Amino acid sequence: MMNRKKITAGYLKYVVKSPIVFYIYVITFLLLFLLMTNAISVDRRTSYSAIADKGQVQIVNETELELLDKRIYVYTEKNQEVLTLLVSSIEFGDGIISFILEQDQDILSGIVTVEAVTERSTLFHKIFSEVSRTR
Amino acid sequence: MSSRIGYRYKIVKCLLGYAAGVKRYWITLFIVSAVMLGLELAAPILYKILINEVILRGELYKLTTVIIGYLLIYFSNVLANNIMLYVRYTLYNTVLLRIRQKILTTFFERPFSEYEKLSIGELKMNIDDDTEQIKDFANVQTVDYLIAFIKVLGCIAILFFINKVIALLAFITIPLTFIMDRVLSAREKKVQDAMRDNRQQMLSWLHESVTGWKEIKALNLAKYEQRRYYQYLHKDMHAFANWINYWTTRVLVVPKIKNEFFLQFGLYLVGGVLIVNRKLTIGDLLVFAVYYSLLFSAVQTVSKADADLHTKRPYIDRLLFNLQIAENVPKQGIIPDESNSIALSNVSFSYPDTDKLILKDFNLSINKGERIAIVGKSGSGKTTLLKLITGMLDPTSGKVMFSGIDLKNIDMQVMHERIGFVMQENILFNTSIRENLFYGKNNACENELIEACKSAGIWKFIISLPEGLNTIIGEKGVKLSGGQRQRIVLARLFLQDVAVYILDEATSALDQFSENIVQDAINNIAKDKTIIVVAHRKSSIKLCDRVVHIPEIN
Amino acid sequence: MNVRLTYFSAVRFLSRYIKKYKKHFITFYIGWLIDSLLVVVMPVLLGIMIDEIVYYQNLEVFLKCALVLFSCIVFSGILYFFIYAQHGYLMNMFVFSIRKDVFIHYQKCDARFLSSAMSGEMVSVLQSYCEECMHFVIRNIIHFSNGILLLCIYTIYLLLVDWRIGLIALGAAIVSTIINMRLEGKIRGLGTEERECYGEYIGWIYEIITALSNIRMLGAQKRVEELFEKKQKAIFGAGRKSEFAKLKAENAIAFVNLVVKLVMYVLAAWLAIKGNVTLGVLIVIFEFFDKLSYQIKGISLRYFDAQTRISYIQKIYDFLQLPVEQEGNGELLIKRGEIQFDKITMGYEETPVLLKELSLIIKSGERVALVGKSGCGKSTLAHMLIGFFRPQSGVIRIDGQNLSECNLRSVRQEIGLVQQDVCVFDGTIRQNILLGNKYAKEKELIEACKAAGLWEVIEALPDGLDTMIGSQGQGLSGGQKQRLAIARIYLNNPRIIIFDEATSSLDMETEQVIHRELDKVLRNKTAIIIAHRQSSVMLCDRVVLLEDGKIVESGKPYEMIRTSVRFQKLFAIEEAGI
Repeated sequence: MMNRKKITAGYLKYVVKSPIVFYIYVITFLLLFLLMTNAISVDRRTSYSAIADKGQVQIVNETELELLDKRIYVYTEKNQEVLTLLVSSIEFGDGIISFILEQDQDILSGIVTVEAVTERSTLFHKIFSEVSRTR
Repeated sequence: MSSRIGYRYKIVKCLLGYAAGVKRYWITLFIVSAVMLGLELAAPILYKILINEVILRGELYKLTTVIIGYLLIYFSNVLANNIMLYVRYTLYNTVLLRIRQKILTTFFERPFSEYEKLSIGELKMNIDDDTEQIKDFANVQTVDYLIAFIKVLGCIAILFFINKVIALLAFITIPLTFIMDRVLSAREKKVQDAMRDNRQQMLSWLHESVTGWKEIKALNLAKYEQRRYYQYLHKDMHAFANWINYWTTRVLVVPKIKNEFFLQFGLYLVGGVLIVNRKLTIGDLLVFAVYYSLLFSAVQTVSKADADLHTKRPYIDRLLFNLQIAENVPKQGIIPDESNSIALSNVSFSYPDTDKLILKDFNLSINKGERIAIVGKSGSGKTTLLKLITGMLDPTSGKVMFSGIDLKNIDMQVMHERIGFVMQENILFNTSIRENLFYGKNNACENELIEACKSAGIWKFIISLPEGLNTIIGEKGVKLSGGQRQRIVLARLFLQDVAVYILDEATSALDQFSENIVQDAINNIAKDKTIIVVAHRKSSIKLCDRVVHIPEIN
Repeated sequence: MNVRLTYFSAVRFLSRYIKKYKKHFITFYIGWLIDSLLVVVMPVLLGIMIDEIVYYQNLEVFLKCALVLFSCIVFSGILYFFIYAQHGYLMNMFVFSIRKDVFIHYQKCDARFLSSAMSGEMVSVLQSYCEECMHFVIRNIIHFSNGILLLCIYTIYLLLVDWRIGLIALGAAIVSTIINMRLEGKIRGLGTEERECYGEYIGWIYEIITALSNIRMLGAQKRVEELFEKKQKAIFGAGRKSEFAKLKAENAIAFVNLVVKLVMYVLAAWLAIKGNVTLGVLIVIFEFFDKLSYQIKGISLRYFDAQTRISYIQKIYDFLQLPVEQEGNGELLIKRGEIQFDKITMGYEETPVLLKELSLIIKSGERVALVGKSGCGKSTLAHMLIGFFRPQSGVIRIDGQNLSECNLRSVRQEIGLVQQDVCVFDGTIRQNILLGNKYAKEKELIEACKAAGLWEVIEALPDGLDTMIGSQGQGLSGGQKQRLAIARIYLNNPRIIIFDEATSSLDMETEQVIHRELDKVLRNKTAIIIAHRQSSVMLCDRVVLLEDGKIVESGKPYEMIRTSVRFQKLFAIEEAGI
């Protein structure tokens, strides 16, 4: 019984009458949030028009590309099916960049869109500044 | 749970008693609601088509299907809503009216001695607020309840059909939130009840304090009242602070947990994993979310209805109790014949809280057509005698008879139609003169009204008023003098064509000047009517055939 | 009459009270602000999560985002407790400070403005309207500004996603808001007819319930039952009309919302087809669009609620403008109890001149009966003695002291009033009588009860003096209430007593008893009796007759009965011997 009264009195003093606990709580959370979202890295992928053919995917009219992740995403209609493929090596030459794929992966042939991870960004960035992801 | 259904059944059975001729509306209501439910459960399919086929598969042509589908559903809903509203209105109002009429009749069937003790507030609640609960009940607790129940079952089936895994996950959450809600409601209710009790007390105290401002000023009670008010407020604030925490938890935190935690976070977490493993499509997941929402709201409807019923139970019980009393029709009284005689035989009377005898072995016999004057020293019981004659008081011993029938066995309503009074304090209603006269005779024609007013000697006054018979009298209207009120009452009696007139002559009414209403009345009343006058003027006594002297008892 | 409050002037009026609790309001506001911002962030997070899992099967990022989302949810859940702690505190304290002001003002208010209509409303003002002030601040200031903020955020986001969608969203929002407001306004206007019918019915049913035995005596049962049916049907009829109109309006609103939703679906489909938008973004668009509509509905609802609340605040404001009783500084001390009315002129709004230069001297220990037609000013004259009214010109002197120069507390302590409608307070009989003198001892209390003829009644009750009376307890008859008032005044023991006689009929027996007690209580005191009964006039030493604002006759009771024509007419006395 005494404890309950003490708790009530404490509650009144620290939560209701003075906003200190509240502000501490809020600021702690905000810091935590910033920390977390900055710590989580998110891939930024660039999409290119490409031709897929027998174990490799070739991008035309591009000279520079820095691949940060082995996985590339290939599709004809993004909303229908996206294939995740593993790349073993990249070849550059004549304005064509070729992704050589690892063995035994099902591949489509023809004109596709490929998305490759070219940058790493943070979650924070993604939430607040990359609003328009329609490219 | 079963007791709740049993209770509902009991109420419905009682209501059906009043639903003669309109039962088919109830069935219509049910059918239409079922159809609307069907539509509601089918709607998310359109959403699924939109997501899966239009957006993800690019089948644009299906977009038209979706749009037409939504429009169709909308218009069906509009139609259904209109039908339901019409049906509901007719059904509920018919039943409600009948129930209220029943209750009104019970008001009139109580013994006279009870009337002083009755609480006006309680009577009003009986006929107005309690009956309104029945309307709410019929609205929420019958058809809607049943439909919500069916909705729950339907949603559960659909959810399982979509994906068994997440369905199972979803079903853990429902009972959980349900239980939390119950536990919190129970605790919250306790606090809420305390708060409401205090508020009620405070309110009635406040009412007193506010209307008694004269007394408070005159007795210098301002500070005292302030202190009391603060005391009440303090208690209220305490209870409120207690309550708000429960409320926050129940109304904000728990739904948040359900909404965001389970519905969004949990669902998408598990769903996402399933999607990766190709066990589920995103379209299915989104539709699942919609059905889940529907399920949850249906469960809440059921739960809320239960809780509601529990809260309203005391009012409904009270109503059912009152209705049951109404069912016990009182013994039919004997209808008196036209002899219209009045007799008191060995009547003794004393008021319930005192031993002092007002009348002792009193005998009196009045025949039809006699004019009697009753005299006696002030305080000797003249008014008491009148009350005994009219049945407002019961004699402590002896018999009072009208037309030879003991008042205990007589049909009071008929007897009261035969006896009319003009007393010192008369009841006129706060409405027009015409309406007041209609209480004497329903829809009397204009000529009858004019004749009655002329005979009562009030017609000249009425035509002097700008609105004549339509003038509103009473609190909100023209203030009449005591004498004028008495004459209107007299006119009412003329219209009513009573057999016995009882006139209590005023001694201290201030505005009567030289009015002798009794004289005018006696001169204008037909010879075969009995007149009893409690007389104070010699001139009035002279007009009577007989003088009855009430002895003073030592 | 008074200033009409607008939204901003209402805010200004309340700001006085808001300032007192500034800290708490700020905390409260910030809490809601953060909650609103979170509400925006969470769907975006969810959208990202969905994209990662649906297209890229990136379980790792998915789970990490889930973690962030989870912590957001937990945070906002706990946040609510903080917010509502402040809410509870403010609700109590903020409202209390307004209530206090209103209540104290009511007590100090000038009697001229305190009518019975006002008392009825006062309870509502104190209980509900003051609470509405708090709701006004929360919903119409805080939530409103947050709503606008959210609306902007949603619109900007949508514009950034695709300017076309954003524009259409904005357009739809504006059109939808206008239509919503119009329709909501219509809905609010409905139901007035039903309310009026209901109000009329309620007034009538109360009359009927109060007069049940009279109706039976009148044999008017059938008529009452007929009228009952008629009135109920009128209410139902009016209600049905308004319900149907309301349904129409609601259906129209639903249609508008449906169109907006379908537009959004079409746009979304178009965007998706073009390949520009992923599912995650779509979900966010749907969600934001939804929330946009919700906010719009909220704005139109709140707008109308604000109008109602402002009318309540207006009532509080108007009330606080009413003038306060005027008083002087001096202390009234009565030794002899001599009253002098010196050329008193007084009038109201309705009766501009009620008393015309009325002069009257009442000697110490004299009993004077004031008589006259109803409305002649006798009540007003007597009530001037306890400061309920002030004469427009002329002076009232008691023992030579000018009444208007004395403070009201001392005046009311020295002069007692027994009223027409006796006020019984909630509490025991003991408490009620002790209101006359808190410091009275038990012996004195019993003596007062005996002198008032109340003792036999009390002894007959099982709890005696501790019986609860008032609205919560036992009801007292008219005569018993009068005796209670007499016992009170006996304890109070002022030198001058004003007795405002009840006109409602006490039966002869009770009246006699009361007069006997009155005689005892009024011994050795200066008394003014506003008499309606001849028998009370007989108790007095002198009768004063008022007519047309002046004293026209004055003399001993027996003389007046015999010689004064006016007096005879007033009391309809024609013959002797009764």
